[in-house]
Amino acid sequence: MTPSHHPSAATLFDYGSGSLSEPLALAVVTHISMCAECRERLAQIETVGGVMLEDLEPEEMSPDCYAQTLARLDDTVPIPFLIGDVSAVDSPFAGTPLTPYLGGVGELPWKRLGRGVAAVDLVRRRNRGTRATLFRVSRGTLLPLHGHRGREMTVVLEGKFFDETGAFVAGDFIEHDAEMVHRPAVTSDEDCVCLIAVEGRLKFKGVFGRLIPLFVDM
Amino acid sequence: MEAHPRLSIAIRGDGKNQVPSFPRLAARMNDELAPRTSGESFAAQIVAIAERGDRAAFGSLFAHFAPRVKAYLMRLGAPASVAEELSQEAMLVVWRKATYYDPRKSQASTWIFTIARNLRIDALRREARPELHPDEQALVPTQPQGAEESIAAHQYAVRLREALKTLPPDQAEVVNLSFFSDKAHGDIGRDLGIPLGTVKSRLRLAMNRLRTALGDTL
Ligand SMILES: [Zn+2]
Repeated sequence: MTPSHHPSAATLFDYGSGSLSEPLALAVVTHISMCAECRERLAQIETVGGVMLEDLEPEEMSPDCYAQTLARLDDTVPIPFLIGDVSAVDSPFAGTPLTPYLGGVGELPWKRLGRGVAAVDLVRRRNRGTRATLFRVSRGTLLPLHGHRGREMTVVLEGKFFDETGAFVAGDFIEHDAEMVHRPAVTSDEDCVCLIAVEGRLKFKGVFGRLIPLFVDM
Repeated sequence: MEAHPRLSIAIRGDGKNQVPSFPRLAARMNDELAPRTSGESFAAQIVAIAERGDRAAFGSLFAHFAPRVKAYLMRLGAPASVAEELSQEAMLVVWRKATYYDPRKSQASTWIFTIARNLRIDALRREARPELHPDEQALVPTQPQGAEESIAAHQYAVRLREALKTLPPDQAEVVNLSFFSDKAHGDIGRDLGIPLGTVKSRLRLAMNRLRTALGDTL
């Protein structure tokens, strides 16, 4: 299974240069962990970063700086290279970049938000109201029509969903800018689990507007 | 010397006319050899730290990279004292994590760039950096057998540096700001007074150009 929807070059530059907030960065790297192609694109961007670092005019260091650092080497224990035993962690997303955000082993603390939708907040940043949330949407659920005030990034982890712009399967990365209004739906054969990172609040429209508090108060 | 066979061929040629007839080729080879040689030796120094805790190797990495990491952090707005402290910190990470460095996969400068980038996010923005973990190789079903992989890491960086120089100024500008402004592309566009779509397309074109340059080398 190879994803066919990827982050834009601009979004990969944002991630590679370190300018995305943590929730959005989590969405991008989760896709990258499932996508060989973007891993390669990221490597390229990081190489650009390395070249730019090389080409910077060096700043002068204070005279005792190196001696200080050397003195600290003695209490700096090298980290041996170990491949962790992922199978030891009993969690559906163990071994993905999500692992540190899942809060330990076992059943995730899903919170029911409304018919067919449950969610777990993974990370929130007050800055610009960014957050990354895991959504589990039951088969056959139509989500409310909504728009965004900021960026939204979605990574499909399990199952599939579709909206006005296309159909998306596990690994796919979908990003929307502020202007987008869409109405995602999940097909009837299986549940869909997505990681959704948003910047700014969602704006709901139409008859489903009454669901707003359920989402906003999470 | 193993690193110089192609250069000596270009200089020797089989007559006096040969050298002036390939001035660009010879210049390109010279260009390539300089960073390539130092890039390789920096990589070897990181490996020396991993294998035997080589302090002399650490010393020369420190002398080259610490002042550049300091410059990088200052470009991103850190005060000199903080930038210096973090650059020491970055070099300590190089010492501790040397066993994680894979010279076949990345150039020393690329690896140190990612360390500096992550430390900055951690220390200055007080956020964690969601990252790939070596374990996650397992998540990618097939390793990319991209054309790029057949080029050695240092060669790859040399080509990228060349390609970067050929970027049109408007693309070079947004690539630069991406690394040195702590802003995502949307804010970069606002600062420059250009529409979001334009920033995105400049970054996309820049990336395509870099990829093409790498592809051409095969
Ligand atoms: Zn991808």
